[in-house]
Amino acid sequence: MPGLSIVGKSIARIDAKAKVTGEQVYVNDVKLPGMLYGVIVRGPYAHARILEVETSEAEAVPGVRAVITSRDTPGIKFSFIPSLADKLPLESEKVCYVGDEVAAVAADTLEIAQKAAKLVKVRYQPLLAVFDPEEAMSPEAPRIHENKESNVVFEIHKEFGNKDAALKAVDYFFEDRFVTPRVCHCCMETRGCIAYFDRAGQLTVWSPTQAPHTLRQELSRVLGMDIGGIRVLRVSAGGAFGSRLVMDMKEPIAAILSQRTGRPVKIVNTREEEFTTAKTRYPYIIDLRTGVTRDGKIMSREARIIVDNGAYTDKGSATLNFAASFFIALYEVPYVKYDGYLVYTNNQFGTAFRGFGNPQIHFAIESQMDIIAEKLGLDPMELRLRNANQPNRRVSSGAQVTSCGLEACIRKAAELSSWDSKRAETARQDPSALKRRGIGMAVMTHSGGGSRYYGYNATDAFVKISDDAKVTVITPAVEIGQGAATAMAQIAAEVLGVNMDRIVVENTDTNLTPYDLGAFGSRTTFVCGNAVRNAALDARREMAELAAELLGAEPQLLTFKDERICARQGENYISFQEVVDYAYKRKGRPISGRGRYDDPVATQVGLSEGTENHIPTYAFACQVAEVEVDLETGEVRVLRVTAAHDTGTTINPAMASGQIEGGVVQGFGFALTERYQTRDGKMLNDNFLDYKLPRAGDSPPVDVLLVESNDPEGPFGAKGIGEPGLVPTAAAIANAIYDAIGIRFRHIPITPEDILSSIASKDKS
Amino acid sequence: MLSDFEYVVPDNIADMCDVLKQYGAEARVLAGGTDLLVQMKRKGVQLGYLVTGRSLGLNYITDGPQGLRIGAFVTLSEIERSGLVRQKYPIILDAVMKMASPQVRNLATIGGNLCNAAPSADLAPPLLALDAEVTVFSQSGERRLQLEDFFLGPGLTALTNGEILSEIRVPQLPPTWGGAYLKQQRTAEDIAIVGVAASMLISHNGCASNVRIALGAVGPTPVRAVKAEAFLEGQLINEEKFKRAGEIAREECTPIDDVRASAMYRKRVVEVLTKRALKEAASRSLALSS
Repeated sequence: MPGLSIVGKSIARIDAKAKVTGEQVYVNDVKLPGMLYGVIVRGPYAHARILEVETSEAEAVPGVRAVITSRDTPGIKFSFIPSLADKLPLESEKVCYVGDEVAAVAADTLEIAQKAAKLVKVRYQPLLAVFDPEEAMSPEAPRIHENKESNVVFEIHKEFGNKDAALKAVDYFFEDRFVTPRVCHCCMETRGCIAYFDRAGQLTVWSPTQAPHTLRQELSRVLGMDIGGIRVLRVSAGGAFGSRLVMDMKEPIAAILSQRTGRPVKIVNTREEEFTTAKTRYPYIIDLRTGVTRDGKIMSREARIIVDNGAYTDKGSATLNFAASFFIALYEVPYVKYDGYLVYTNNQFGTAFRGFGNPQIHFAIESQMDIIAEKLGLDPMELRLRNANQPNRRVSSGAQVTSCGLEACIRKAAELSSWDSKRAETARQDPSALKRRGIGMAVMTHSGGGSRYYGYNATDAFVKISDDAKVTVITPAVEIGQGAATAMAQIAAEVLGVNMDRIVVENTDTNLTPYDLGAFGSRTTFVCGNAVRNAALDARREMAELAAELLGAEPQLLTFKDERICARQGENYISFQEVVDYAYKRKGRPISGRGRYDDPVATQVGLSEGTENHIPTYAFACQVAEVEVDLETGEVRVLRVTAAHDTGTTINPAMASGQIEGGVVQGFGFALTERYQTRDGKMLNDNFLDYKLPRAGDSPPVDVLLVESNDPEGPFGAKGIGEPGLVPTAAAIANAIYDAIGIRFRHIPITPEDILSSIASKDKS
Repeated sequence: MLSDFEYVVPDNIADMCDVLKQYGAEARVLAGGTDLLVQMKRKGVQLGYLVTGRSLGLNYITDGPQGLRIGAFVTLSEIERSGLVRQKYPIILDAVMKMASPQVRNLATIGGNLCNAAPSADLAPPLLALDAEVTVFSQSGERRLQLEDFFLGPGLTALTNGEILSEIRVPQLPPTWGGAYLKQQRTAEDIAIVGVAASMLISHNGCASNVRIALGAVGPTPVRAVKAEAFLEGQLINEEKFKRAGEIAREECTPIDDVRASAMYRKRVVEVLTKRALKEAASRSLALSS
């Protein structure tokens, strides 16, 4: 954006030095005086009744300070949504997946705690388990939560538009089933926390959470205590991707152990615990039916979705809700129907994971788009352009699209990837070649500013300008590696016209930071960024009044840029430092500002007909993947991904590109390599040797294009970019594989073995 | 969880054999530790004594009339940096460059890779294709055996109590010998789903001799595909013959289904990689003779 000097620049992250040198403190680095180490005793069965828990042997180990079971807890069930509560911190009657919490030990050292945990003797009576969500829906299936009527824990049914009119215009229907897998977040840092009940009864929790204020609420519910007695100190997260959004049971278990011992208690997952209990992406089974006209106009789109919830309910209903918004808004479709079922199984349960249901939905929609294009004899790009959403449209649900760079993303990605000539080249390949190339496209929409599902989407920020002319930004913007703190600093520095080294960001302590929902839904830049911008503007007003006195000018005509406050261009100016000195030394006053992002629509959505306006702003993207398939080994190499993303306005191009590249690599793993393998509910590959997360050496080159649509509500026109990177990637790769070998995969991951067996069966037929 | 153990630093190789003899199954040689420590942490392997061999001077790479000699404690990085290996034994470098990450290669050793006796050990197929021998040292002296006879089963070698692997030897090669190692992996830094090494000499009339084909991760031990070798021996080489040799090798191997791949897929990949490795070996041999 012209005229900006800090926003829009690839400025080094403010936490770069600490992270590169290893100085950054993570929860495992924090050691408090007298701190104990906790270890959780977990059930080895997918489904079993707990008959007896015997702790005396563990308690007798020297150095053990407490051994707790469900009897030592308040016995309050938890779920992110209180009405769906189904999980105890320590289970008393049953374990419902392999790894379920049964008891916990706190000891002087980790080694003692681990040893004692092995001495807790639990007798189980194994029960019939169910792992397939469709089987679990049957009335004959084992009931996982006996107090619930069935294993279907939540349903969503949405229908918009004029069905009869839309269906009448349809020439062809397309019906396909798409299946997406369970995958793990694979954060470099495993999840952990420290909890300490001090003598005054205040509970302080150190946690790498993505949602510190929500964690307070969650803890207060499950511990049955007043929220005012809980303080969360957020420590750096070594990766999050949604896995640190909802509390897991370590926090309340550590709190109870601390209450029992009067000591701080640290619990950190082993890598095996992380793989098997840190929760996963929800697997989706999507039956998709789309009606189109002969000339490629989509008239109707209907989805029936079955989600494997796993053993307990976390974010399953919310991912179904959230993904519905984008199912409806990606293309202009006159009639949409969306039916979702969330089903208990005895698998590890799901949670938020970058994209939040949307990568699953997009794999289905965007794979089917290519099926449709082929049938209609249209170029896949052309079919997308004919249906792409446009700025300032109201979609069938009544949701409002504001800024929209979808068409520009499609055209730019096609241009940079040489779409037309590459498609022609792949079509001309020697049919007997043993390595074949393909190119595929997928587009996406996602939120660029969180959602209004909570009935709340606002936050505050504060700016103080100290006597040393440092600018402290107090914001709830959670830094989880994505660069939120740097983005906030850039926004404040831009508004105040100062260098980045003046900015300090305070965003770790719930006693200090304003209430906020947290870092998820690609919302931080949009929501917290707006609040920071407003707080900086407020502080600037104070600065302007002071500067105006010194310059003899009108405060509202002053400009703030490059450490100077100018009355007219270059002529009459004073430095930022001089104005601060003037305030403190001459006027005897401090300088500060307060800002709010307010989203009044949030309180109205979903309350009545036609108020489906859940998404404050939509982000769009188009990705083009190029692959080479080895027909003899089934290996797929991704040669290049071109990723054009609508960022509104880019706050920091290097960080935005990093988010997109990281997303693409995660999407690559989702599409091709990551498999969560189990036997009887037990994970077989709970380690990085056998859980095939892409390595640096596998990452395809990613050409990022930042398309700026200038959002009317975003700070400096910006939208969020945290999640979109992986949303379309799997479909783009699957479409490229189809282009290469003419085989359509409706499931992911697409493994070399799948490719070889599909080639073999194709050759037979 | 790593259980307690004693860390023993012997003064010389004889001391080391003494210690190993004395503690028997309670003791293991610690080389790079990249396999052993993982087994102790994850697989419940409990040992009272870890005996380091890093101080014994067994970290040389030399070439002479007896051929290539590599000390058992040479790290993969040292092999990677060896000009000798690069120039004369590129098949070994093929394997090293496909093993793990630079950090792991800085620790892991050639001896550890062989003594761990994983069916997927990447160095085994190339060394089998080179007719390598190993030197085993004990209180009663040295003995030498063919590498082929060294592997007895998954995690099992011909080493008996008190013996250590001290050296790997590769006999002198004719100057036009060509060999290559190919590996099928799921992602970078992966262990082999299948590894295939092939080597041969091509005579001036275009016939193959001294054909060696060795397979990894498709049986209880790394193995030679002797029937495929015999099929090619003395034959005028061409694409069709390599393909046929691949088909024969496929029938010779006995892979299993596991979390990494199915047996069927492994067989299929043996066929393909054997063909490709033979082709690459032949082209390297031809490049040297021209």
